[in-house]
Amino acid sequence: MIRHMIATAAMLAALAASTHNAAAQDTFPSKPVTILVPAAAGGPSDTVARLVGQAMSANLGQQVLIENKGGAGGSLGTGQVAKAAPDGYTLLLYHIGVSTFAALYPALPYKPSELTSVGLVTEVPMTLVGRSDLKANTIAELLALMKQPGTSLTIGTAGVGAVSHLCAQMLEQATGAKLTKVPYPGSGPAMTDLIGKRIDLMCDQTTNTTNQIKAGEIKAFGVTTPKRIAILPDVPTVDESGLKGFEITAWHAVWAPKGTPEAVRVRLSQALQVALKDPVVIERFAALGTVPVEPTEATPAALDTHFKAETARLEALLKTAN
Amino acid sequence: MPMTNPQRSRNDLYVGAIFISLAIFFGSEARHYDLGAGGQVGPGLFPVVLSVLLLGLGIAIGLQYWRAHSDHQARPVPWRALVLVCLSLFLFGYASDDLGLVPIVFICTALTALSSTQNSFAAALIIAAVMSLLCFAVFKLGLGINLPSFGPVFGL
Amino acid sequence: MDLLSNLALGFETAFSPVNIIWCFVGVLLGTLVGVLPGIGPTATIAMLLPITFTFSPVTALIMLSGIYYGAQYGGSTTAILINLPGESSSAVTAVDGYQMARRGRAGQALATAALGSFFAGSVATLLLAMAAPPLASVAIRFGSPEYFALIVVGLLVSISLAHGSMLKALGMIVLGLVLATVGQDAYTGTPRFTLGQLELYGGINFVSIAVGVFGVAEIFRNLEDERGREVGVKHVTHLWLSREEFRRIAAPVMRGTALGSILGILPGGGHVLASFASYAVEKKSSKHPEEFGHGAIEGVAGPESANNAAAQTSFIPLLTLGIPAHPVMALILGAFILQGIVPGPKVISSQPELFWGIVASMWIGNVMLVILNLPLIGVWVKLLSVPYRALFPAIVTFAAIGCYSINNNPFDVYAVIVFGVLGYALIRCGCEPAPLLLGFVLGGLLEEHLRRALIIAHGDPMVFIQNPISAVLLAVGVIILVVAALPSIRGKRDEVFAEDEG
Repeated sequence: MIRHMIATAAMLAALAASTHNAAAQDTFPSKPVTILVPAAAGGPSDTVARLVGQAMSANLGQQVLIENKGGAGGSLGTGQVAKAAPDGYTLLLYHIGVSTFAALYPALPYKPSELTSVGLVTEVPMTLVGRSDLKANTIAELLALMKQPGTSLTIGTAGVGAVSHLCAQMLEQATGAKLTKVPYPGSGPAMTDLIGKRIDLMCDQTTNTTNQIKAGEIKAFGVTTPKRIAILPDVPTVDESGLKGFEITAWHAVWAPKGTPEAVRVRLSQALQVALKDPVVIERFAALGTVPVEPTEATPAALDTHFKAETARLEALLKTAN
Repeated sequence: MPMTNPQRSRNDLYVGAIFISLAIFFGSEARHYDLGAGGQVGPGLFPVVLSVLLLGLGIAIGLQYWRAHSDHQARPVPWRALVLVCLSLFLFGYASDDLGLVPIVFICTALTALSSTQNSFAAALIIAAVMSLLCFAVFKLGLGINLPSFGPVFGL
Repeated sequence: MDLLSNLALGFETAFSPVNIIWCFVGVLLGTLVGVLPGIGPTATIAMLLPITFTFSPVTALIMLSGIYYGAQYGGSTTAILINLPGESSSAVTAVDGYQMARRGRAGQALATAALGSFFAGSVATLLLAMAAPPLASVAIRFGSPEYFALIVVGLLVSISLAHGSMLKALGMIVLGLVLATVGQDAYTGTPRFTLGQLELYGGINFVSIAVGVFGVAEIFRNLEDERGREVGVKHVTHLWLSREEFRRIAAPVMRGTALGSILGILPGGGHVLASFASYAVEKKSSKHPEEFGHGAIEGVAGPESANNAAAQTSFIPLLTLGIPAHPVMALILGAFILQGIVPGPKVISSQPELFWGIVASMWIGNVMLVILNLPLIGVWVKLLSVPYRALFPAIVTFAAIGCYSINNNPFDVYAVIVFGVLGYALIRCGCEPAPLLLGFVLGGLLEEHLRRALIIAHGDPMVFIQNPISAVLLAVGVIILVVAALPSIRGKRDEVFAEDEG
């Protein structure tokens, strides 16, 4: 009897919530939506945000504005979204780095739980590349070279906390070999030194490496995705070349401040899913060396799972490294 | 600013004091950073070396007070401008998000304008009004700046 | 000849009505926004990037490049008229340009900047067209040891930026170097001097420092005694250069162009050295070095040409290697990617009309800029007849908006307060702001390259000597030191190192 009452009450509550949500869904969005990118304009994340934002605005029937707020590896802008009004009009689009902020910045002005998921956008594959005259052509040869006593190959990264840095860290952990990590202010200068044969290795997003690989200026050892990728069909995966389970991508996702109504998040996720099917988005993503995620991934639930898993994995990785 | 010795400029003393205090601030903070080892430069080496250099230069400049002469004329410090300009910049940083572009430009410009003794209150308001219009046209209409024209405080 | 047919293709692309209109819109917008105090090309392009979404790739890039070099023209206007440089290169122009303006020669200073920029832009564009790929291979040769040595030489040479007390100039450089270490250390992640503020993790914003120590400090200076003396800039007598002045700027423009073209190619920090280095060269080779800092026209002609030449040649590493040389190039790289093109070694061969179209448009854009800017000089100079009491509130407000809009970060505006007051105190006491900015700009690069060179060499400091280019550069540095020290050893005075208080 009591159970029945509770069930009824719950049903009523759910009904009330859903009509309320439906109302919110009908009226949302009634003004322009702002996507904050916590990095400089023109960077890869900004590019992704502008492409997706434009496509989402068609579906939402409202303008989608992109706002850039760089600083502290992106944690500043992320904090600003976490503290924003949870009404769905302020969103965050950023990458894998969000999973590392808590481990990297003790002074973080927000708690990771203050963000709530909207959906994944894309997972940019990474490539393990080397200077053109390195005495190794395959992952196996590279591993042998890395493990030679007395050698410590240099690997360029885009700074502490960058995806390229995380990948270098993972490579060290997976192989047990010691690498000399060389930080740069961004991927561009690191690529200069790789082409100029002053550093040995780099592990970076396809966006930054594909052209140089195809021009033969650097050597590709492997891609870090579970499967080979379309733009570099001849490059094996690191996983298939012997480092089982070696997987890292520069995934991008959209978040909202905690407390954003469920219906609004669902509406935003729908708009995101539609945007990711937009031919322009697909075409431009291809130039970035990536593809949009499947619609099932562009959902709050999928991002929740992914975010939790990545945070756990990367925090463990950063802890062992320092 | 009265000077005890018109032959000498206290400027060297002041500059020396500023450099020395900054050197002490940066140096004492940098002591806690790793200096590096084994041919590697740590995050502390540069700041520590530079602080020591700055300290030395500060002392050398300060000592010049006793040997160099100067023809610098002391002019009054514009205290009113210092206070008002700093206040208006602070307000801009603090309240622009809430107030929006047009009101904050009006307030800041008016405050800044008042730091000149040649501006009357009315003149400051006129300058502020003109600037508000100009900034709205240039930054909002022209460049599409992220700041709202009128912020959330006005419930728009 | 290949070059001719390529250029023909380029001009055909660039002269299409759509492209020519957007090229004009780009350079016009660039000039106008560059003129706004505190807003440099980075902020401008970032704000205008979305406009180009709907364009074809060539058109979008022609317009964005136009904004970039247009803003270079505009930025020097602000530096000359109101002593407010929007980026490191125009900080040098402000030194003598503003002094010229104060002496009623704003017209000549602006004309010199426009003509020098045009000449430099045209030559550098030609260089880009003829030799981009081989020049890019030079850029690739430069690694951290070479950059470190280059920056050491740059710092030594640029002490000549000071025209007053040598000790104070050194102090300002060192202070700039210290300020550059604020922020999270890129190598270890250690936060330095951040005082627990996350906003300081990314370091201090250049524009905040420049606006503070140049713009705001100058306003405080002008308000010191309003009734007692003339405030601001004198009215203008002539707008155009005399025959004598033409003669004086010819050699500096050419030297500046050569220096800027070479340094601009180096993506690791060459372009920031261009205008500083050119100023030093002009001061050293001038028969009247004592005029520098008090309105020497050569001090505007050389650096402005070097700056504009470097602006054009810094496209070389981007277009041929896909490597952005500075933040603006990173933005333009972003624009390429938004258009579905990843710049890199293959762009020239796979998208010839894009590459050559941009090159041709740069030349057309430079012509437009000079046609646009020469008549505008009259307008800008008219601005000076706005009473100072109305002008300075506008400068402060524009500067606040400009600093704020870079990162939408209030902290950058607060930093202006700190550097405005500190800069005013120091300048009042006989220090100069330009060496501080130089130290700040080069300090970060100096430490970065020193540490990286040592990491790559596994801690062996001999890397700087074993490497031929860096060894030669460091030897040049030693020679500069010796030459500088010799006269004082002999008890002779050297203008550059004069101890007289300005």
